[in-house]
Amino acid sequence: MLKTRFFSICIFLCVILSTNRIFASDYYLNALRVFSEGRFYVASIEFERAIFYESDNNKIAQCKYFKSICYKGLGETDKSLEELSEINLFNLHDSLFFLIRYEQALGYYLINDPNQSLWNIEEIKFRFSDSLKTIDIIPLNILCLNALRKWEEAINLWSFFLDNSGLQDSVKNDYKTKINNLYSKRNIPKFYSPKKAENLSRFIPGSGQMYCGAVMEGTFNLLMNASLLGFAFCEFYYEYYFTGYFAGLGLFNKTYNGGMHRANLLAGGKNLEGMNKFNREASSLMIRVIDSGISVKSSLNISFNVWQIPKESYH
Amino acid sequence: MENRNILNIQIGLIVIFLSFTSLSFSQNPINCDLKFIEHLVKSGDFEEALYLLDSTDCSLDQLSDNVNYLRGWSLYSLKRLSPSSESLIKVRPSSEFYLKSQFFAACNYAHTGNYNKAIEILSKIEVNTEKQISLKNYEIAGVYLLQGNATLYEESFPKINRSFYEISESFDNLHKISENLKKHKIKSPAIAGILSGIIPGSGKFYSGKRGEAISAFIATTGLGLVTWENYRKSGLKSFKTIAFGTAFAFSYVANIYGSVVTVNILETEYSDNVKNSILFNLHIPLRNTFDK
Repeated sequence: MLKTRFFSICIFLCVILSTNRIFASDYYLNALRVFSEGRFYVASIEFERAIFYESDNNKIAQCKYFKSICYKGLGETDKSLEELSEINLFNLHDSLFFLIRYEQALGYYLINDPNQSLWNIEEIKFRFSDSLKTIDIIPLNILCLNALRKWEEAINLWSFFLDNSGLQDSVKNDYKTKINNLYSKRNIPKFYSPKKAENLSRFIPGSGQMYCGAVMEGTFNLLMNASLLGFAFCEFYYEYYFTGYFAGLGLFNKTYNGGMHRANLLAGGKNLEGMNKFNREASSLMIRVIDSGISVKSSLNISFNVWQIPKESYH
Repeated sequence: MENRNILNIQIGLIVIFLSFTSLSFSQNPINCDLKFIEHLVKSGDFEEALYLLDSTDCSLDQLSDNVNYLRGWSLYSLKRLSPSSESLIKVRPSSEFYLKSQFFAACNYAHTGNYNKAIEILSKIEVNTEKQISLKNYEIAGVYLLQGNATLYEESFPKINRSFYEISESFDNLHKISENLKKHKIKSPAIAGILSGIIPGSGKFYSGKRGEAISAFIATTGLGLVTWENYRKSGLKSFKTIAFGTAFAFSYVANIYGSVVTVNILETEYSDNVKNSILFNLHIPLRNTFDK
């Protein structure tokens, strides 16, 4: 009877102690199910629940990764990055490490921080010295280099990308020609210095706008400032001192300072517009290369398909 | 012997069966997971906590106090004060969150301008220790001050023991606010208008807006001088005289109107500042007492 009681107590305790593991995996599977239905908000809560009950670092990292994808799906890139930054990367499986770093790189690129994005890409390259794995990150790497105006490095990466795309030589050469045209001097977006534009308008009102390519606006600004200054001098000449000072010079002061500030803003706007147009062309060319290159496409599919986390990382 | 072995196997199977079924009854991962909801509230994920409280089955009788407290606290943290109060006042005296819920519910009602309800809740709170009694009397005094009821505020004052550090600093601040309220002189919009009519910008100076007063003076006076100059040299019928004269007249009238409106805005701003200061000083002792 004593033996029976002893074994009964042991069985009971084993069941109790194993429940947390059972429920943790239940929560994770439930969260994945909700995620697959596209209900990202609810899925983020369920992944948080799985994190709460889980104790294994790898599994917690997986849940946090999925939670960040949920936030990305909800358009909350900042929260997504915050979630990724909380992941403990120590001793993680390679595939999960890659996915987390890639999402961080992508997130930073999306919030217009290409420097931080490149830093995450370098981390991936450092961990995966086998260069075939790093083919997956080349498209994002090229976009970041474009944003930082590092044209030579971008062209070198393009060459490497094409060489490992699995395309025929004739098709490869055709794409290389297109890339050389894309990065030719006349096609690269011109950089307009906001400070230079402002200083030009300081000496000749309207010249800053003309420097940025807005010739009509610059001409109008020049004529307006000249008219007001002329009006002021005219009034002084005819001894209308108060009129010349308050009406003439007062208005001139406003339009002169406004013109300088406008030139500064215009330069920044033109830079952004030019870079966006260039990156759109680069992206569409990249998509054509990916669609044509079989080895690149299959490699990228494995990385970009969020369901394909290797099973050994979970069990 | 064989019978004993069969009996042992049967007992073992029953124990295994009971273990699994009892666990599945006691902890359903989909329905009301209060432990997890508490974790969300502590982490600051209030929207998520509210979503779970509203969408899962958390209405069991033994859980309702905890649920009401968590819902009320999440709503309070999201600055949705009215629904927060409605949840918090449902927390019963038997709950560990009773005092915190009642005090914060009263504070929320005070924030939303429902002063009578705030006093009603505060009066009904069951307090035991001297600190709790002082806190209750302090909150009631603060709400009387918000209402502008100086008599009842003065009567409540002696009942507060300011030796407790949670209350002492706020107590002194509240006392200073009440003293300033007694000394405050209301500015007259009519006087501001008349002053601006005599000297452009002086009405704004009277209301305390010195920068605006100087710029109004320069703008109106400048237009006046321009108008006078053109009138003197070109006559009344000149286009420039009429144009600048119109601009000056418009500026002069707008300046007087602006001075009158500024004084009204000033009084509104003053009462809002006083109200926010009182509410802030009602809030701090509650955070000091209950959020350690």
